Amino acid sequence: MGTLYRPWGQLQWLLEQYGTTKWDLFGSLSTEDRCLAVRNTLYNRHSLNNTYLAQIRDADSLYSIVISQLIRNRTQDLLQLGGSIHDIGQHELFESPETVIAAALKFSKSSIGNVIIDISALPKRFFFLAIKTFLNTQVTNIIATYTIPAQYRSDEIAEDFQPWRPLPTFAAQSHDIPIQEFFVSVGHITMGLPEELESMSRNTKVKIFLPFPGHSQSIKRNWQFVQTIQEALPEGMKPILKVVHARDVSESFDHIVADTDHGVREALLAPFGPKPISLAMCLYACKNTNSRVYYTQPRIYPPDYSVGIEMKEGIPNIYGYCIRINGIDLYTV
Amino acid sequence: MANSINPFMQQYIGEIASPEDFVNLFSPVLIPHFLSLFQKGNVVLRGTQGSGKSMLLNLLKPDISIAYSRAHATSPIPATLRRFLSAGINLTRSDAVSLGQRSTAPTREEDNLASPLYFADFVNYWIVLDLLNSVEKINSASDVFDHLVDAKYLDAFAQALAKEECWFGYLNDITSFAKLKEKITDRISSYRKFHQFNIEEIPVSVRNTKTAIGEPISKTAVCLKEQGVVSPETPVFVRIDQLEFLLESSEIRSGLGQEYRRVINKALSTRDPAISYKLGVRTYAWSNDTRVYGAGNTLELERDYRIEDIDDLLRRQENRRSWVLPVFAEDVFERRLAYVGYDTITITDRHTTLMRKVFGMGTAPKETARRYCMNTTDIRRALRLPADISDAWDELLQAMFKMDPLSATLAAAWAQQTGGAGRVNRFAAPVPIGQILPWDRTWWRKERIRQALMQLAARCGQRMTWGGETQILALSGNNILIFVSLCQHIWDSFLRAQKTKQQNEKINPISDGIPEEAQSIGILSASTHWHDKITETPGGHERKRFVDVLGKEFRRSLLEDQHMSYPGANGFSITNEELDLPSSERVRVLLQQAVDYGVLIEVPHTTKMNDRKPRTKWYLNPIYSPYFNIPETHVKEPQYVRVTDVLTWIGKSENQAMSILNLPTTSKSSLNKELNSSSPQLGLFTDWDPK
Repeated sequence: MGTLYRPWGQLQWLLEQYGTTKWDLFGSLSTEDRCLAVRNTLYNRHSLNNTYLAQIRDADSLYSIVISQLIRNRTQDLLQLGGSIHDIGQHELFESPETVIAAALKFSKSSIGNVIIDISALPKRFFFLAIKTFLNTQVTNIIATYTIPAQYRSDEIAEDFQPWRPLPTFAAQSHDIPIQEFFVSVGHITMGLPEELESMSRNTKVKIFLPFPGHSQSIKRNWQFVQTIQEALPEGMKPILKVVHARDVSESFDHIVADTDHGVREALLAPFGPKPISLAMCLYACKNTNSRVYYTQPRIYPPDYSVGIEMKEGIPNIYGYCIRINGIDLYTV
Repeated sequence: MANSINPFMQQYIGEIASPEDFVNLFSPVLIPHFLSLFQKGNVVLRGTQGSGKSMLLNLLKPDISIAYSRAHATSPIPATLRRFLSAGINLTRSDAVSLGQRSTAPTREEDNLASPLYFADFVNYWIVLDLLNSVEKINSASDVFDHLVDAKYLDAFAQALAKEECWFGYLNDITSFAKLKEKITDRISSYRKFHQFNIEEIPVSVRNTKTAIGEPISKTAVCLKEQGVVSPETPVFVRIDQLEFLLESSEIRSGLGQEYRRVINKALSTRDPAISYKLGVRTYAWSNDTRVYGAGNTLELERDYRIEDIDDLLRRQENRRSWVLPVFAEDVFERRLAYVGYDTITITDRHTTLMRKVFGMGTAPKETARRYCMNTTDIRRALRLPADISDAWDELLQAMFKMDPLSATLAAAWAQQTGGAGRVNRFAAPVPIGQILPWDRTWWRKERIRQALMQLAARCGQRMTWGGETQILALSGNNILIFVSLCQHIWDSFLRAQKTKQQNEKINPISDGIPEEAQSIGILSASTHWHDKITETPGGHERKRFVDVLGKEFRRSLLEDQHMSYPGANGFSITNEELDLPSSERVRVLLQQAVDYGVLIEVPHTTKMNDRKPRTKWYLNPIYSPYFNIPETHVKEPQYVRVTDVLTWIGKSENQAMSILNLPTTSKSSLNKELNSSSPQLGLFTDWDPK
């Protein structure tokens, strides 16, 4: 911990450090405006090699027609900016993990060894698996990217939560090991999490990652989230609030590593908060088998989950996180 | 110390509460009604979510018996039924549902055939391991279980069990009990490793030795008896929880969950005398599929299993004395207070319940009405009197209102009823005289009091107030978890109010009771909490949108009905015949799931219609009544509706969801065209386009 410098920051800056290197992009094609921001940035810089955009179909819902139309519009956007219909792969939200793994493996095999995975609009069920798969391959460089939207939906951002279940391939290695550390990142909605907390063992230490500074729209929701968690915990259990930088993957990762005594203590990770903190949890869980990642996966995302792209000095506000540089993994336990 | 603690802070004592908490908080009131759980025979324990199924099934775990003993408390299970072995599986927590997420065969067809077999094998091994763990636990606390287990035969048992053909040789090398557990653990671990993609394939040793559902569990039970580990008459119970997940999970491949469910059904269908299965399941989730895996037959009620229904037991019957909920709630209430240090033994006198001492009887309706109208000066507006009212009526009602606004409201409603087709408006007729006025007739009045209070509160710009033991029980909707939650929110509200008071002003909740204002605030808070919670369960958003439309619809109906001709309009009824039509499937599924998750309450309806067709009626769970500001009582006839009416409500709920979508105007415009062309009924974006 702390021995490796883990570069992260604005994607433009990060790409400049790599000079003229070309990149293969694994991302998504969704209703969200931000889903193509990384692709377009790479394209405009002439840094784009292969592209794979997973178009993930939610469960049928009252939004289905709207979603289909928006996806068609988004596909047109892609084609107008030099993309191809062959860049898009069709997926189901709850498809078998082996399908996602196969897509990631196929992508990495055809890549030039420099992979960018854009997690902006990829559901956790996908990007956790994809990152785990990439880390198990021989690709030389891996960067994860995250685009900040202009605004999030003011109403609930996801619907129809599934029961509390491990993300595919992130279950416990053994069923009877008690959880010692429980990390939950604070998001907009608790999605069935309180019911799990009500029955949590008092021997478990609960750590709440409160993102700061978060998106201005998120502050009230985040504190409501914290309050809900505190109220749901069994009497006498006092959670430890850890204020973490909402964009700093490395900081959250280091917190987890330190609190688990470098992975010795059994941890349960609940990624309900900003994607960069989820990314930190993912990277930890990929490298440590004494951990499990649980989530109440929504089946439906409204088409206005996020709208627009936040701009910073005239360019899209995209963060990039180096995960592997020249074959060396930067996030190790 | 107890005075500053909320005794109801911890609501949940279900699946994985610590055994110590369980002993302190579990109420044994329901046990005599569910003794079949502790007797031989397969039992399906049905109930809505949160009704206490897991709590009851937990009593079968040895840890709970040990905790009772360590706390020097008597087990709630009758002494004659305490000698049993048990094991169990929670299908989600065990991760059994992950089986099938990864292909085990080269083609989908082969995989579809193999996956249920692996599922059955996993369930078998999991339950056998749990049974062996139970045997060890019971042995390590032999004083608690009165030497139920004789450990000196465990190794012989393991050797004998390993020779059984049901394992297909997988356990051939077993020489001891410890080795047996190790080998079984290895097998479960192999499944986990495979589904975590940590190994390339399921080991050949596992692939070639798949077991038939139930058989290894049965052989284990028989062997334990034959080898003298337990006596031959010891019953062996197997708990299976979260069965509904198999049919509802999006994680399990389409069709596979159904096969898994049928695998479990097959275990029950064998009517194996060595094993009794005890299943906890939501009401409709059980009846969704009772077919047996690999066979054409279905499970037979009473022959293959019996049903115990928690909701049926707790539902109020005509005779209040046989209603179990008040006794159950009182017991839970006392235990919670005793747990945090209140002396509930000496403070309870013989004339009243502790709950009544704390919550009181509730304010009388007349007084409630007075409070609603305290600041009202415009009486004609409060009573919604028509312009053409006669002077006699006007004078009477104005005078009555000043003395008794509730009676004045009821009288005004009576006068606006026509009394049948062709009759004239009673406001034009003379004012009735007599000892018992028509609006004072017992049943006429009783059925309309809550509607009258609701209308008065609305017309006087007040929220309805809530409180008192009876109303709290009614709002609980037969669900003990909701009752505890109501108590928690009331106590919170009370403690908050206490914080700002001087020491000498502070109230003792037991001797003085919790003030009604704090109760009302707490009840509204609990109601809002439960309304918010609707979305926490699968399919919850659709249900919440539907409930929101229903709540508003009911309130509108009850408010607009100034004649108070339909005081039962906070529920609706449909003929069973229409609901059973294939075309009604969407409505039927929505209503069934709403009942399963406790959002709606379903009751058979004895119709007053001439056709006498069997009907079913639905009400919102009473806990939502404060949130929607509607009465919680169910009186007289509900609204008679058609399936198309329910579809209209569903349509409204969807339109509301679509109307708040935040999309760019250009997108909305093009989308609106598409929607209109694909579905002429839905003009979802009309409101957004100013043109």
